[in-house]
Amino acid sequence: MPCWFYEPEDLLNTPSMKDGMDEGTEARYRREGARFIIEAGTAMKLRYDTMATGVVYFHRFYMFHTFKEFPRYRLTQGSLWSPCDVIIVDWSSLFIFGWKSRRNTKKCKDIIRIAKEILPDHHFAAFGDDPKEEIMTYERILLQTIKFDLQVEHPYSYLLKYAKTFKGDKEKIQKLVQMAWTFVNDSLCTTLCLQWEPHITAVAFLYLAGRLSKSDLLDWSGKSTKNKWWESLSEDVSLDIMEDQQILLGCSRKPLHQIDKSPLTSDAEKSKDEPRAKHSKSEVREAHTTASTPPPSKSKSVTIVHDKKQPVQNQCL
Amino acid sequence: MATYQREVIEFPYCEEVSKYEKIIKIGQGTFGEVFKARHQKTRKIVALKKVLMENEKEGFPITALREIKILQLLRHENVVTLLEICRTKASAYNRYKGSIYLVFEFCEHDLAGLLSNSNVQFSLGEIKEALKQLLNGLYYIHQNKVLHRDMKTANILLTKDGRLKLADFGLARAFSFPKPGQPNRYTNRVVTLWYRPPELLLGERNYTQAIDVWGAGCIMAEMWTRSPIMQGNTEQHQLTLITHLCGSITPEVWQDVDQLELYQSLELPKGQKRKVKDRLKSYVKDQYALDLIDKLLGLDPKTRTSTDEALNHDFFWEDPMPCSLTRMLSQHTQSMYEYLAPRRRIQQNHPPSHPAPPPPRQNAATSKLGLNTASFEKTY
Ligand SMILES: Nc1ncnc2c1ncn2[C@@H]1O[C@H](COP(=O)(O)OP(=O)(O)OP(=O)(O)O)[C@@H](O)[C@H]1O
Ligand SMILES: [Mg+2]
Repeated sequence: MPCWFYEPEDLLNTPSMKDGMDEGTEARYRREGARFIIEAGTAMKLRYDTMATGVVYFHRFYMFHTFKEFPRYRLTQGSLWSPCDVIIVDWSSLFIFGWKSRRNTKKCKDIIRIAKEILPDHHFAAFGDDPKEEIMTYERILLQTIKFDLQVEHPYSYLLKYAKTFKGDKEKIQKLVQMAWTFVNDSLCTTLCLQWEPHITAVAFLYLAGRLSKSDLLDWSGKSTKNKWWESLSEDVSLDIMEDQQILLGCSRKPLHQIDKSPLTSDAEKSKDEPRAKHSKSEVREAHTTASTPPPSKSKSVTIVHDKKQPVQNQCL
Repeated sequence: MATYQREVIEFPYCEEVSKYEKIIKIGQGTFGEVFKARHQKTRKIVALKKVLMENEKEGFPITALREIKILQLLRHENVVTLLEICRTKASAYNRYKGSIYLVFEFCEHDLAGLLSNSNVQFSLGEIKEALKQLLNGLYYIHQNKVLHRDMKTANILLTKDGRLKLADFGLARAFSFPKPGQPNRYTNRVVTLWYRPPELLLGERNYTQAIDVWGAGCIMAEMWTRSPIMQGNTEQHQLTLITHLCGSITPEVWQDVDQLELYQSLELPKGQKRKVKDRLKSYVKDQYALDLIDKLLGLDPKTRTSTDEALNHDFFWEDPMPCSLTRMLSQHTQSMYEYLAPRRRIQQNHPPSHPAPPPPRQNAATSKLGLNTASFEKTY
């Protein structure tokens, strides 16, 4: 079985980096790729988790192939590779299980039509003379690379599940989940999904949201047996893991040591507007700049499955 | 056209199928060819199902993607195991699109092949064992919110050591329990006609796991009759046959049946009595067996027995108790499959196979559905 989770060292030794690409550039390509998928998915009115799946496929793909190799290998002589060529991999990621199966009346030509609509001409040119053939070729390459492993879980479902175990001020809990939800959205632009299982990410983001909003959860089901709420949710989550810079910095807008001192921020929106803390890892900071939630689509496709009175509706991509 | 700079792309997770040597073709379905094959080095025997890609205008077939996704989710001794997915060489010459094969654990027989061979005799205990395993498999997949949607004897496999496995998830899908006011709208163009339950024939699209239970009932009776019990030619004909066996379909025996789309437009014979036990008693001597078949073939899906109830039925708990199939199967060294069965059977009895590809309207439904489906299905 493939393991889709990697150690930090592995992420500094990706195929692209072995091929001479620097860390910052790879992070940028990943971020841009993820953003394309989300933008395109939003335009296609896909569900938030379908898009997230596309993004996960995309991140996994580049643990086996280099950004130089793909899609460079298909370039005609003379044209220079540009990061926007990543688009084709993106579109194929979306095509596989997002587009195709959710709305399988849609044909490959429809996705190409949308690509043409929303992409600038010089980006669309990446699809070559026969865009349909190009997408299908990539679909196949992508499927084989990801081992046809189509079961992808996301932190979203865990957030919803965990939220149900929290007791107390409904509004406060909603805000907490909403903030954590935004962090998950943001984290898609990073390699977080290659580092931590979704349930751990979910707990860590709830924890982070709690700290940022200074609202500690005081009651939850299972409290009688456990000291901390996260211990009731998952056996394998510890404070150490959650404080792991990789998780929190992957998404928080400030370094952890500043979080405690930060003025009380009651919701995600506020924290978004605050000046961003400087951090040595430039790509981390950049990720935050670009990872803002795309405008909530009006389409109903973003309604959440589990709960009718969903607090987080507008937050889901 | 793009000029490809690289000849071959590496896929660490998707090995070449050439590590297996094909021995013989054992199946041909709508969606692929099936071969018995042997691993060159380990000598392990497997079944290879080739994904048919000719005429695929939309890339990798969605049916195969669903089948793969569902099989990856399911792990149970009564569900066929998907071992891996292999490919033929991908290179510039085939535009990086070689063939794809699903590699399954190998099973010596399918139930259609066994039942069509009169040398194969099941004792009552053996029939109980087979059905128990079948219902166990169904119980498991339903627990995992998967509908099989193509129950029939050709899709039930048996290993030589007596394990029964549900196979062919090519039509399967994830389901959710319908919520009040939010009915599911699945396609009703599923299940091979002879095994199709009345609610599907009447146009129900908010169906449940009870559709697979009906199929299990047909298969159970077939363990004695040795050929499918209701061999309709058309949907109307199939409904007529069902009525002749299970009695007239009316709101008295099936609450709200008159709400179904096709209830008015199809002809439903009136005044028919339910004769399931009567018509089958010359084949099935065991009273408990008759009673269970009668319950599995309940007309109203809401009251049709569940896999759970069926497994608790006296049939499985009265003497003779279920007994291992190993001894009986060990007498048959020759594999038996529907595909390899004598032509006669295939020509005469081959059921109209899969219904035509789902009509487009299914798809609008699928996307609506997205809103209330089971969580694992969300990435569909
Ligand atoms: N693992 C296996 N071991 C042995 N035989 C198998 C195996 N899988 C499939 N077969 C044989 O191949 C036949 C076709 O396989 P399967 O039903 O999976 O394919 P299909 O193309 O989807 O068929 P259908 O048209 O009925 O949907 C089966 O009826 C069975 O006889
Ligand atoms: Mg079959």
